[in-house]
Amino acid sequence: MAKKIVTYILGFILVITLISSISLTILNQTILKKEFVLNLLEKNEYYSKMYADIHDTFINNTVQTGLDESILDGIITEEQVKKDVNSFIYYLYESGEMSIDSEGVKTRLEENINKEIEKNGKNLVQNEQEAINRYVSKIVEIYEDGITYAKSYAKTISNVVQKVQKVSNMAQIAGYIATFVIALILIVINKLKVLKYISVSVMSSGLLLIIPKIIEISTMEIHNILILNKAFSEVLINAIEVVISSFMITGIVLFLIGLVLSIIYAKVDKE
Amino acid sequence: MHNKQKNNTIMKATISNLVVAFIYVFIIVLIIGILFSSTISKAISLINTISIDTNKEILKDVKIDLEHNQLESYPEFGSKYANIIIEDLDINLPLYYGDTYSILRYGVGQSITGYFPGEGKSIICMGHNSKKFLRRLPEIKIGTKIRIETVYGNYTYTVQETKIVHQTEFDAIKPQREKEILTLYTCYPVDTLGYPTQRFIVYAPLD
Repeated sequence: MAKKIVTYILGFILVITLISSISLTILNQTILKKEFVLNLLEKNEYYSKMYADIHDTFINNTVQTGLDESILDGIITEEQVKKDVNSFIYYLYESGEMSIDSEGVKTRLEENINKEIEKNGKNLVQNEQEAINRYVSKIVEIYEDGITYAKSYAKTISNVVQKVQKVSNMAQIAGYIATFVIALILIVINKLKVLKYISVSVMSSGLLLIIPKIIEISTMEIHNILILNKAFSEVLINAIEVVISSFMITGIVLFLIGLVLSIIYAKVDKE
Repeated sequence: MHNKQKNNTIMKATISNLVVAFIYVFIIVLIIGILFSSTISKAISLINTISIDTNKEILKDVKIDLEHNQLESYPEFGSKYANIIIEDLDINLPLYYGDTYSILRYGVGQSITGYFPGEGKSIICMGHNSKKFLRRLPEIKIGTKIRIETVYGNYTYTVQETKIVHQTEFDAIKPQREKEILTLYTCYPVDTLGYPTQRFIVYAPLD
């Protein structure tokens, strides 16, 4: 009897360690992996959408300045946006240097404004020069915020992401070791009968991994998420969907493996 | 017969394993529910809060309750629900609910801190000072009529006072609830280059 109780408790712990290890593996292979994020950005055409969004915000901020919208021509390119966004992602996941072409944006914009003023033969008074300087600074700030969302928090976010990556990797390894050790103990205690308990734990883990999908369908409106801007929201929605789907697929596979193991054990046991 | 019995036994054993598996799941869900229920519901509610269905169509069903001077249904943020007309200055612009830069690109924006025409309180509107929008606003004279034609009714206001203030003087555009007054402003001076730091404000009570 005592052996049975210990076995069931170990089986229960096995479910927890198995599900933790698998969940961490999924997270490490998705949102905590730089390559996954870069791939997601590419797949969602994030760079071109972000380029259009930043350019649009530039126009919104130019309408009231009395300057022609043509001064924005060529101050940013889609390639530059892509390069700067990627540099920011590398910075978030791997630290190092974040290089955003703010100086280039500033120089090109100032050149365009000077050409426009020259073309119109206008002499600037001091107030106007100050107002233009404020406008240029605002445009540079919009560009930096468009790339990083909040430049001042980039360092903090980067530290958090890298810390989470480190902890998650270690926890994943620890989880698999614990799973292996518990499985070994179960084998020692139950010999051949171990198949039964392992199959139960695997089935439970599978069922638990399907739960996030059930919650998503029944209570969340993931498809309507709108945060920061449309381009970012689409990437976020896609990332959440990929993670939840990975959980669900892994869950179904585990459940089926557990079910097959259970049938095999029942068959062997009968014979 | 023997095979059937064997199959039944296998099925029974599998079902009993499945039951145990479900019991494990139930216990774990229960533990997670007890420990993290408030965190989980907060996360779900946060996701649903940032899940917005945007509808920027012109709304025809905005109605006003005349007895209580209050709108029965409000326009969607970012939607055009009226036109603002100053005939003396040849101004006829769409009026949107909201005042973000992307809204102001298409017409005059109405601040969400104020109220709606017909509600008997402050209506705070703003527009860019470019030729397309309110470049001529500083030419306005005391006594000029400003009309707001909404989807639920027309309202006429008469200019009582104009003011030039620094952009940080927020008190000048503070909403009040005592009487219906339209506060309309733009950046000043209007013919400057770059970001102007002053605002030209028009105050016009309802006729």
